[in-house]
Amino acid sequence: MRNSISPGVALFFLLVSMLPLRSADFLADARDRSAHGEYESAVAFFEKHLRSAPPSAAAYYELGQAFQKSDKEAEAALAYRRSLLLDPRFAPASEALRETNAKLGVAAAVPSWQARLAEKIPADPTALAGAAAFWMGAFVLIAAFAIPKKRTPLLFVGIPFLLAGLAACLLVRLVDPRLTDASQAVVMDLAGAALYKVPSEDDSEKITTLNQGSTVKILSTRGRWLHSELPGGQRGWLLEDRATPVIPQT
Amino acid sequence: MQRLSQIFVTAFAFLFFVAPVFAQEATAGLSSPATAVGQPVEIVVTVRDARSADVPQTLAVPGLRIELLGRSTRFEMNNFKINSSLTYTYSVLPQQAGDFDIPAIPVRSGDKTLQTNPLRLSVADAKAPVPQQGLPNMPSPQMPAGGAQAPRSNGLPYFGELVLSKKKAYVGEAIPAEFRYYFNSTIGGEVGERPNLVGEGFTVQKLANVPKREQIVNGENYIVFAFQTAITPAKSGPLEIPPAKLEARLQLPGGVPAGLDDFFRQFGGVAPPGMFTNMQEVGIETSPTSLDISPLPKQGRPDDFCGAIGKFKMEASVSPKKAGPGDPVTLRVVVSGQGNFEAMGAPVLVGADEWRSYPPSEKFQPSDSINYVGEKTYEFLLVARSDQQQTPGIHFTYLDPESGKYETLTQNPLPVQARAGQSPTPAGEAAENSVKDSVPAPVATPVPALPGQAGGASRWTSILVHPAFLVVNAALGVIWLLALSALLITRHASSPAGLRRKRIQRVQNSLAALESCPGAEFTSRAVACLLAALDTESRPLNAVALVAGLAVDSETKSALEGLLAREEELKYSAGGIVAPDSEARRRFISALKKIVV
Repeated sequence: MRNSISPGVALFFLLVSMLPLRSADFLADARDRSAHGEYESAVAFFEKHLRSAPPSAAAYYELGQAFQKSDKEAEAALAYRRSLLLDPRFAPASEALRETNAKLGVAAAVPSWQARLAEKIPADPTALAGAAAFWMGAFVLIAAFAIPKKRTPLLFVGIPFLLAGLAACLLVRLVDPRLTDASQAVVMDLAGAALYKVPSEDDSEKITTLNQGSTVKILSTRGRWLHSELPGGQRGWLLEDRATPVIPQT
Repeated sequence: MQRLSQIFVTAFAFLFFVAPVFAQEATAGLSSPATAVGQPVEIVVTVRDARSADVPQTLAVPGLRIELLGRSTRFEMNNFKINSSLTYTYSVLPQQAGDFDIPAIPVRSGDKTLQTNPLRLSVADAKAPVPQQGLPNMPSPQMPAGGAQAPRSNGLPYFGELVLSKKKAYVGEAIPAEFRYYFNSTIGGEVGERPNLVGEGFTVQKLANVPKREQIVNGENYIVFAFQTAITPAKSGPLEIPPAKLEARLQLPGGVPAGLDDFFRQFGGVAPPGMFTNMQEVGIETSPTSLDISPLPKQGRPDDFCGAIGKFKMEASVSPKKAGPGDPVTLRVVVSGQGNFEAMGAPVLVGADEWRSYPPSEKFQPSDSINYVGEKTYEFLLVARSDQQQTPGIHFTYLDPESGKYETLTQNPLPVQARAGQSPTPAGEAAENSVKDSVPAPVATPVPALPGQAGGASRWTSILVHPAFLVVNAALGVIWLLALSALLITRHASSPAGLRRKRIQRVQNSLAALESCPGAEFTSRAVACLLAALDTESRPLNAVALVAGLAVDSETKSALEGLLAREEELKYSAGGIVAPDSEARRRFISALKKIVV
């Protein structure tokens, strides 16, 4: 029996091996065009890169800059928000979002304690370390019960590890913007978006008109209507096509 | 034929006497809602579907002298339905200026008391012009002398008129206007939603409905449908406002239907007026009106004039009072008054070189239905370039149409503590530079860490909800539970209870084997079983003492003692001991079972 590779399998491996290369090409092209002032085409290449590669705070930041230089402030604000969602400690994106919001006339929200903590804590490493500490503490407790003679010192080690690990995981759960802000959406329409008391386009039921770049929290969906909450706590209904989710819908 | 006549007469009488029982109503109307001190007006109270009623002779309203003048009765017939109405006329003599609320007038009809609608009368000083009714109270010298002009009905059942607050205005100035359509209260029908106005050289705000009201015109009671708007001229020179047409379907008096002429000829010739009506579609038009529109004066026009025409005042505030490095402050400017709010531009910041400012947001809150009176709020977001102790100043320039001069409202800088950003973003700086120099200079983009090179997540889901993380934790949890279970099982097995259970099991097995063992081995095996049951390994006492201490009946105890004695004999005798018979074996086994269980 002769060993041979079919052409289909060979093509598959070739395509798979090319994927990262294409993604890197898109990013290089995007940066090249951005450096030469071709911001609109740079936007297209950044978007191609982000479709073919895992999302990253840096790529979204650079996309936001390209949007900003193409005079697309709302799109830039959305890209900066996505960058900060992936890395809340990314100061350039935070500063750029503040500038963009100011240009859009969107009032800067007072940062919550979660947002302030998120800027200090790397979410994924903290969660991993917390999980590791938790399980280490848990297994040390098992050992404490198995070895009666060393029970006390083992308990002194196991319980703090277990509690610290649990606390770290809970903290990440409370401050990770990918969990806390997962339901946020941004008004992208230049004309803004009307917020209604009820899911109906009746002008008499209109609460207010949200500016382009405004952020809302989506509570639930009913047909083409989104039940939304404004940063101040006011709730209302928004047409689905007026707001773009901060976390891209795949 | 005679029978047919009887039926008609009966029906006529029934309608005449029965119909007035239903739908009694009392309404009141003023001959003019505005007057001056010493100039009397009239209140007409109409009581429908009643033949007699009592009304007060005078009405007590401080500042007004109101007395009943007289009463009249009126019968109307519409398509065989006969309506009778009573009309009471009061004279109102204003004694002082001001706005007066005339309360509802009680009308007693039969055993019922009806209430009219309340009325409001504006009384000006004897020398002052009477303001236009229904429109914003504009202090305008261009108003026609004499103020409100009574509409001319000329006895028509319906007519329209356009009331403008002024006849001379500037290009871009908002002119409040009211389209009024009068319908004699004796005719019924339906009125269109709003009038149709098409013309060139001006723009019109969306027409706003005014609640319908009643008004006496030349002694006739009319229902008035009015629509308010603001007309904004777009060019200078004479401006013609064309007729505005309102569609309506009205029940207007008509001729006797064919075939009934003979019937009425029997009763003297012709049918009573108003007995027959026809539904007709009509278009009611206002009269065309001319305006004199002037261009904006060039003399004295400041550079920062933003197109505002009217009367305004300005207030400003800043928040927060203290801003951290790079944080924006909001300068809120409220322009209130009356004028062309929709067309005017924003106030201008003065001395804002040390601030980065952006086009302000606008929000208009109207106080009327035509967006002529209200307040407009502008919010400037400012970011300090260097540390600042006060905001920029504010200028707002408008044209006062009364004086024809430009007025500038000035707001001094407000105190604030704002700190400059530590390092403005290259993007922001680059954008400013490009605006200043108009040369697209290449900007050194800060190249941040790329995916995989530094911090930041590379997926949209938190690791806490990532499937791999959940699977690993679940596996660790299972291992932990298994370890805990093994530990508990081990500990349980080595506990006294566990050992005891194990010993009992062993004794029970020995007992089961005892029943079938050979006779020569029975005694030694039975004693071994007894010693195991008594747990002599962990208890230092000898077996005899332990048996003596057992809480069992004497027969069992003596059987067990006998078993021990036989074992002694077996141990120390020279082999002359015979095996126990079956009765003895049964007794020993029974005794052993009792202490084991």
